Amino acid sequence: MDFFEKLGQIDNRIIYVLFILAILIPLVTPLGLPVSVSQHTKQAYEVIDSLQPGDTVIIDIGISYSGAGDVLPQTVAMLKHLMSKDVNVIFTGVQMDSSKIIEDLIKPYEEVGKQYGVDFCNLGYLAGGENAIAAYAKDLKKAYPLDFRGNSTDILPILQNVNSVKDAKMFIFFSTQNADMYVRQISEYRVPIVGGLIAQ
Amino acid sequence: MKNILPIIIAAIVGFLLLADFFLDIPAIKGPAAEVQDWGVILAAFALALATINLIGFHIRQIGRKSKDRIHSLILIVGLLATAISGIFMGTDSAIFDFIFRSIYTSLAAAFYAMTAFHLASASYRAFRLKNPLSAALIVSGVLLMLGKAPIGENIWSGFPVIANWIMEVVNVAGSRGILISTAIGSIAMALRVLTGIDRSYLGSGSE
Repeated sequence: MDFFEKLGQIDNRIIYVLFILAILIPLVTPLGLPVSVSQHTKQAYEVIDSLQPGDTVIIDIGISYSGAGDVLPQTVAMLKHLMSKDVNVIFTGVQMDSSKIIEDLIKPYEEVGKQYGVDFCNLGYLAGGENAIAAYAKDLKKAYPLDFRGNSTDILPILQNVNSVKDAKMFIFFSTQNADMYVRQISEYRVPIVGGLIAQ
Repeated sequence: MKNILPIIIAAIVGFLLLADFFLDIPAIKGPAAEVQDWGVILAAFALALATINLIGFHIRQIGRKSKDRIHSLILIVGLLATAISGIFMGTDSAIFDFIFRSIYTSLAAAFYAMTAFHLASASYRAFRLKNPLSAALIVSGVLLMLGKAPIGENIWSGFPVIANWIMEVVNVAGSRGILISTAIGSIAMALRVLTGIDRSYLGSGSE
């Protein structure tokens, strides 16, 4: 048995211990390595930076809590950027955890004076996956007669001039699944699409 | 007749949505939007039905004194506690918040994190130098890891460039090939369903 064959037969437990050490050592004593910003991230930043105060964007939160550790930080960062530019945000969701995650995302901004229904709203979870995306993209208020907090979408100020995705300046999605269904259903509305996905 | 009616409904709905997606016909926009809304309602109804089915199944498991009945009991208690606290006390109540944050969120994240160990072990076993193809897998895998992790860029600034090239040229070319062949297969499958040739969704096979 040569060296490489022996390496291939190492017990799983040894691999797990090495893996734990590989996670724990940088966690306890950070290596301080600089993290570079990818070209795609720069492009996403620039397109959001080009938005004007008062513009409205739709963000779909397709995040489940199992993958939130991976996708939620980028959502928080992008929302911070949007809020700093006074962009209005309409939240939708196609994952069962969406409604609760959106409430957590907007809570800090409500505490500093941003107004629910004016600066942002949480339309909550809509069942049906890709069909739900197609339905709300076509007619937001028909797909969502009420928001997550029970308000009629007809009276929310943020939705007064937004009836479908084509009335928004941009469509943003964050997903722990995949990007295909968003691109398939939203691209026909010719609005810029920005997405944040789980590492696969 | 029992099979014909669902096939006719599926065909009408399917062709209506296809026509709405590909053609710009104002007359069908309204009906197509209506059908899509029905889809959302059906999906929500299916969720409720699945929940009832799940409870029924686990009650039967407990009734039969199955050896895993403790798991069934935990599932029913957890499901009812979450549903009752959410529906009657509100999703911002302390009990629902505790269940959601301290139990559900932690467990979901823990389960997801555990897959990292299996991935590490599986990658270690898969990365075996047996032939030129496995060599290509190892080399591209190592280059990608070095290109995507901060340590790689600190060793050599060329690693991210190579990693991006692998992702955007080699990977995209392969993925597109798979995607196009899957799409052709899906179109063929959809046509079989819409024309009633494939009836497996009705519980019967092809004719």
